[in-house]
Amino acid sequence: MSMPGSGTELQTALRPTGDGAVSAVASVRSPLTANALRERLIKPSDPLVLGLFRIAFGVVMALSALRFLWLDWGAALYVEPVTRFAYPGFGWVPRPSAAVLDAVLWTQVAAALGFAVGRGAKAWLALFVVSFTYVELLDATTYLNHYYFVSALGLLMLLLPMNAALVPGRASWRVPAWTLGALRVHVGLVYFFAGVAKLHPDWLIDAQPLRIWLAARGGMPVIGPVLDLAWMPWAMSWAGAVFDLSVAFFLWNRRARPWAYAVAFAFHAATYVLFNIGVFPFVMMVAALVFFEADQWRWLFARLRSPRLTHLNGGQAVPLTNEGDSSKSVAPTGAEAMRTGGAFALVAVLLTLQLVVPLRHWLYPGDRFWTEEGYRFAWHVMVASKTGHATFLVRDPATDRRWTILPSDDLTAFQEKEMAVQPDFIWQYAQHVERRFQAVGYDDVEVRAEVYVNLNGRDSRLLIDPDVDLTAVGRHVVTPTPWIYRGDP
Amino acid sequence: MRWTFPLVLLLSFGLTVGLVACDGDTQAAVDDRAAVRTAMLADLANNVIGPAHTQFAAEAAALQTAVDAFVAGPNATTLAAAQSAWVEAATQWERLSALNLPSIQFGLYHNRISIWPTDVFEVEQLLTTDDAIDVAFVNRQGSNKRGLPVLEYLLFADGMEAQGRASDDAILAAMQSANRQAYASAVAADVVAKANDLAEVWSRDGGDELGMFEAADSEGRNLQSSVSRIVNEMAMVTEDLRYVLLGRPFGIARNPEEPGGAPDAMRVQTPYAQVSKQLFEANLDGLRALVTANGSTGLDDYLDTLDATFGGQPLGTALLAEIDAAEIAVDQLGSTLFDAIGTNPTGGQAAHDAAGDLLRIVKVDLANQLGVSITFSDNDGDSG
Repeated sequence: MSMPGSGTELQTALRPTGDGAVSAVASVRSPLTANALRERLIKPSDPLVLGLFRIAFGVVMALSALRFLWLDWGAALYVEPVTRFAYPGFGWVPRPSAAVLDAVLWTQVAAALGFAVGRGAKAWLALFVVSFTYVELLDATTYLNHYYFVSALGLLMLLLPMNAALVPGRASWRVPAWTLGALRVHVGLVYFFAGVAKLHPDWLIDAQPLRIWLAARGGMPVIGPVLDLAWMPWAMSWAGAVFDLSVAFFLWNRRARPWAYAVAFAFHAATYVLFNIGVFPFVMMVAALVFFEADQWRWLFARLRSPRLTHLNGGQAVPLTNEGDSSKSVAPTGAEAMRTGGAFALVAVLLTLQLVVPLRHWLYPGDRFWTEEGYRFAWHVMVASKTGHATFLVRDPATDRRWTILPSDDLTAFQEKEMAVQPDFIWQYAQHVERRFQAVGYDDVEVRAEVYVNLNGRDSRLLIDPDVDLTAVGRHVVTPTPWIYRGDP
Repeated sequence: MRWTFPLVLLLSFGLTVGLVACDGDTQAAVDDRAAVRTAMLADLANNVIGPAHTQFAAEAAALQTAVDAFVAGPNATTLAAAQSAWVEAATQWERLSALNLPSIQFGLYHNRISIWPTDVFEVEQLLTTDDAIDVAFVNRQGSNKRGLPVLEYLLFADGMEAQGRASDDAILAAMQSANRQAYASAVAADVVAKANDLAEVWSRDGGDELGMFEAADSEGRNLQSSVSRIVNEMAMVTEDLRYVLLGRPFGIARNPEEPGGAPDAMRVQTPYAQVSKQLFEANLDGLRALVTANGSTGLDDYLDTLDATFGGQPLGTALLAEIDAAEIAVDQLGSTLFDAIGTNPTGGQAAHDAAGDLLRIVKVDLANQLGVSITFSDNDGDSG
């Protein structure tokens, strides 16, 4: 049994679980000084949750990749399109053939399962993160918050001892408390910023876009009449905002946790039933499990009375030791401390980015739902209904010849739908059109776009200045894009 | 603490119920919405889609009769009758085009009835065959060598060098060929067979696609499939009207890789029959029928229950106004679209822009307010 370091002002309430394990829960009785905080962060903790989360994450990701293969989305989304849309700085990412893409997806499956098993976990995870992120970088029109979440979480886990428990044939070892805390903070930030994104008049006052989406689902059997209740869009909007803003805090609280998780489970199940958002609900159902503590899992497994879970039940078969050697001290020293300290610093950087990046949209003028500046990577999950149509007008100044380009000639329906509502994609497509003209001898055409967009049921209106030659302006990655029409959408 | 979270959520529900009770939709209006949506699907099925398919089958049968009479006795009278029957059938088909929601059971039939332009070179090659030309022979051919566009070529042109409608004498001379006669007759029979199949599959006593169309209101996650199919079809048809039927022949919508790129009258939908304007307007009739359900419960009524507006007026009203505006713009092009291509570029641009306004309201505002995702990706009616 390890105890927290002495000589601190921290009084830790160790919670014996009857099996020799110690819960990570601590209550602070005195002011949290820097030393106390440090002690709290490095306190040796039960690694069971990291192991369980590793297994759950790996299995869900493997299933997600298998689903992708089963539905044959790879070819449709990444191989068949004539052109693609790149994230800033990632235009160099090579496009795969159908066979290579399949191989990459199968690599995801294998890597996710390898990670779940735990031997060589870091290598498997690195392979998974690289292969998964590679696919996501192929075309920015396929951006989904949960894809980004998986990549970001994977990157974070590369810095954490995810193989500290539940690895076949290996003893577990205690881990610093901050490792599990980092995972919880990351998951909590996703919920919290999804709630912040909902603090918008459209969501709270007009109950949009839920009024549109629920009306479109009013004919569903059993729940259709419920969805058709007049007040339901407002109720779901406000409940959704309250849920997202608060659920992480309630999940963090030991007593409220089971109830909060039950609500979270119901929330994600409802979003799965109502909206076509892929595996995101399942990813979050799994992610939220990270808030449960080891002793709570052990309590559950003890009641399941499953022989297969015996080694989880009480830590008797696999004692909690340091690096598998119970004779070692749990306190990191020397190179290990430096390694742990380095990982901690990197994790701190990653979490700081996760804290700051979702806030950047406040730096841009205008409504982010309309401009989409600072919109991605900020957990704006299903908060806007946008539809658009873009017409591209080309002029050759040398001859004054003009063309109207039909985007559906060289974009997939999916790409066109995404392009027509996002200014940076519109800019990218204009560059593509320019290249098409250059390929047939028009060296310096002008490309303008007339783009009408409807946001949350308002009348459609012009999204960008149709008089701007998009080949003569640059892409604004950080600074506000001057040719977007702003103001109240 | 353990009850705080559920209580907070419960409180937020109660709060919002109170808020909405004071302001917002009323339950009666929402209940009405569900009833109207159900009625709309039933009326569109019974009063619009079903009758349109039946009517097309009848027009196709009349066309076959006229074509058979023409090939049996080619003369100016039988030619005029066959041409007239072709125009009637083609017009009805275009009326159907916004309604011919890709049949679940016979999705490919639409391509077999009308893919244009016809590959006249390959058709002429076919006509040199020594094989017996019958419906089975036609069935072995690709979509651009069968259907209504091929009949247009055979009934209004005298060969692949034709640049527009040929004289009756030239057409009659060309039709002296036994293979040409047999091919015209077989293609007409094939169109009838496909039209009958479609009518059958949509009929209540047959494939009952009408029933499926109505039932798609209550199939769980696919409940919106009928509304979604309608809106997607409307968007696809409107996009074709703008870019393909007007933009390309007028030289407005074109790709840099295309040679020439100047206005080209031969790129109108019916360069030989020269009834492109009439067919354009038939497409608008089809769109209008979906909005009004021919006077019964249509899309406009459903949009009213959603309080969907555009420019301060009901969205259904705005939609009909844009359809009318597009029709007026095309009507002002002159007697035929074929003639207007080289002579009225200003009118062509105006018609193209009017079709663009219609496209905007269909593809952007209508789709958004109905919560429909535009997912169409085929190019029905356009191979070039």
